[in-house]
Amino acid sequence: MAGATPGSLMRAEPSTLETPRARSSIRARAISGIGPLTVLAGVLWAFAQPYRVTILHPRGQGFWWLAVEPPLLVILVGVLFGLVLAPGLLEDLQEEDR
Amino acid sequence: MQPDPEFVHWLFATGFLILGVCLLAEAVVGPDVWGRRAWRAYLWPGAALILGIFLWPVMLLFTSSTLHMIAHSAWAQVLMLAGGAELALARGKLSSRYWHLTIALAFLVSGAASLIHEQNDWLFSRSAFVHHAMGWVMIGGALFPLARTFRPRSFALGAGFAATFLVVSVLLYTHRDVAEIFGHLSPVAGAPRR
Amino acid sequence: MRRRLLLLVALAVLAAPAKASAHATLLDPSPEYRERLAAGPPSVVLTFDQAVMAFPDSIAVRSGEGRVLSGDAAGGADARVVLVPVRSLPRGAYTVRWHVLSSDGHPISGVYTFGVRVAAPPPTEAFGASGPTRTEDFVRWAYFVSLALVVGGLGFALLVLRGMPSALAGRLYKLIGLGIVATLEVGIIAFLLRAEGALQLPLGKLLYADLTPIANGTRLGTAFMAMTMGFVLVSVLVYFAWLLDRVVFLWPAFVLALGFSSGLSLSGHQAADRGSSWATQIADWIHLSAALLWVGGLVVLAVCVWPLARELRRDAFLRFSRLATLLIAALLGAGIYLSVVRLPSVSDLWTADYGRVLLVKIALVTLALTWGAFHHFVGRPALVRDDASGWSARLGRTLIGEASVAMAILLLAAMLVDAKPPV
Repeated sequence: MAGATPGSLMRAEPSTLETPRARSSIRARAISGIGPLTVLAGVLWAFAQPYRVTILHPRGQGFWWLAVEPPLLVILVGVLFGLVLAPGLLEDLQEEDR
Repeated sequence: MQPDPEFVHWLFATGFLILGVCLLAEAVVGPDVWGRRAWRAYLWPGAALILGIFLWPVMLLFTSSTLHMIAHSAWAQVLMLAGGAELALARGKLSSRYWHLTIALAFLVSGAASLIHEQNDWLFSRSAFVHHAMGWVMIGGALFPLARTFRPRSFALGAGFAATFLVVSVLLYTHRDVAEIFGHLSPVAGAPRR
Repeated sequence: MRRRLLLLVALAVLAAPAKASAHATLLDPSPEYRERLAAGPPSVVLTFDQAVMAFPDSIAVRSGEGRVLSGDAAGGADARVVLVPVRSLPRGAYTVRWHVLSSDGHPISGVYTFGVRVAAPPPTEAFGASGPTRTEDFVRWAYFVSLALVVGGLGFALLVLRGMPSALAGRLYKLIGLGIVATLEVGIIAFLLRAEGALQLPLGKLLYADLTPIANGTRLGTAFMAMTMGFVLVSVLVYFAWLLDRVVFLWPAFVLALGFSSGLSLSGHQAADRGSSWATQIADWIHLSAALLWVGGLVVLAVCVWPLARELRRDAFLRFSRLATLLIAALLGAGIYLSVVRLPSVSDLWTADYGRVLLVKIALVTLALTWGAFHHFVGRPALVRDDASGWSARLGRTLIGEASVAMAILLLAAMLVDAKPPV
């Protein structure tokens, strides 16, 4: 870079910085998507197999049937990821860009 | 108050789902960004360790067969070992990268235990299929942590590692029972009660 | 396209529901495990969680003398039920051995007991059950040794070293870790060997045998479950002490390890034989705990302190010597009390098998005590004087000798736990 003129540096900026930013944006979008996609998977599962959400039709089942409802657990994981992990990861990705 | 085995499987499936999404996120952002917050570096190794600890009561409370007991104790031990080693690596207590191989070992042992645990053919019933699938997914999946030990920054290896947990999670959520698989059901298996 | 279709079919098939689970499990036996009945039952009925295939010999009910008192077994109207008619049963204890074909193709088997107007024995004492064998004696010995590494290692770190000196931390944590892993593994092996003795099945069938009556219906099973979980907790605490460099985690680990070692006292003959009381159980626990601390401490002194920390040798030896005096006093006091309870007549020492093993143990204890006294009265003053006569180096070797004798004592203790006292 020692021999580069200010003009040539200005011209070089978009081509050298565009790729990492674009990559970072893809990464940010992927991180933003993991939580909602997990929630969506849980919701689709609940629609596809409503009988696996016992709370919708509690026919006298015991505690465990009501406490452990697989599609709801998947939704919970997605929500937790979106609320707890994703924001920090997105912030750290932004910081890495700066 | 003791839950049926299925509930326990579904709870562990959720644990593996948590591991899977964490590892997927780590693969996406890369180890540097992931490790920027200390608690995040401890997250999935800690989850693996906790899952290993909770497998012990499963081993002790579900004594319907010797094979179940042995398999569950094997899973408990390798998961504790792998989680413990990863946690120590994250903390800096261990430094050799070869400790990452404990995850590959955990997958190999778990896969083998799943296959030995189910001695019927793949298409014997749905339960047999799920056990075979889980066993081979874990044995095949062991390649990812194995290779990742030497190429820790590879996105493909990180994503494959995460995907192994996600597939195991889906298989654990599946009903393991006597039902046809691809239209097949062994006459020895008896009729499915739908 | 075809592959995608196959994938979709696979997902759909995996997702569709059905009620039966993988292996059949015995849900409801009648009579129940170890049930005490007022009158003999007309039949024995086993209800599984799913359909099973029954054979004429699927259920055999035997008297205490081994006479078969049941007819041909058959499946009930409900495919989950298998029942067998039983002759009129007089007062006594009975053994039920059963085997059916699970709908997943696995032959599943089990054994349990019930009593008519008497208390039923545990399934480990069912008709046809065998053991404890010599292999079990060795396994129990391995259990004692592994417990000594855990309890003695933790005790030495906290009571003698009063922390984890950096020079020793690595090897000491490895020693304690090895002890914990061995305790868990050997505990599982010991339990399975006992189950094998009760079930009397070849390995292929043993793998699918129902262990529930043994795990839930015997003192051994209860002790196994409590001790396994207890030592898992100990492992977690020791791990965090190492990971975070916090010795404070070792205190609860030590207390738990000492407490859960009592499982051995509660599952051995101490808790079941005539003459047993809460006092004999406490005495047995004190006897065992003192032995574990002493043997484990000797091993740590010989394997960690002597080769790795020259500067700690003197202080560690002197402190351990003081602790060992207390431990030996507790060990002897509790041991003498238990011997008096178990062997009411002195001649039992040479006439009964239990007495003869005890006699050999006493001889070895005397040897170990003499060795310990030599350390105390000769080695200790030399270390205090800090003379350069080479005592320090030689003590390392003689400590290994004393630890080896102590381990041999543990082997005899293992044989005694499995043996029946003449009382």
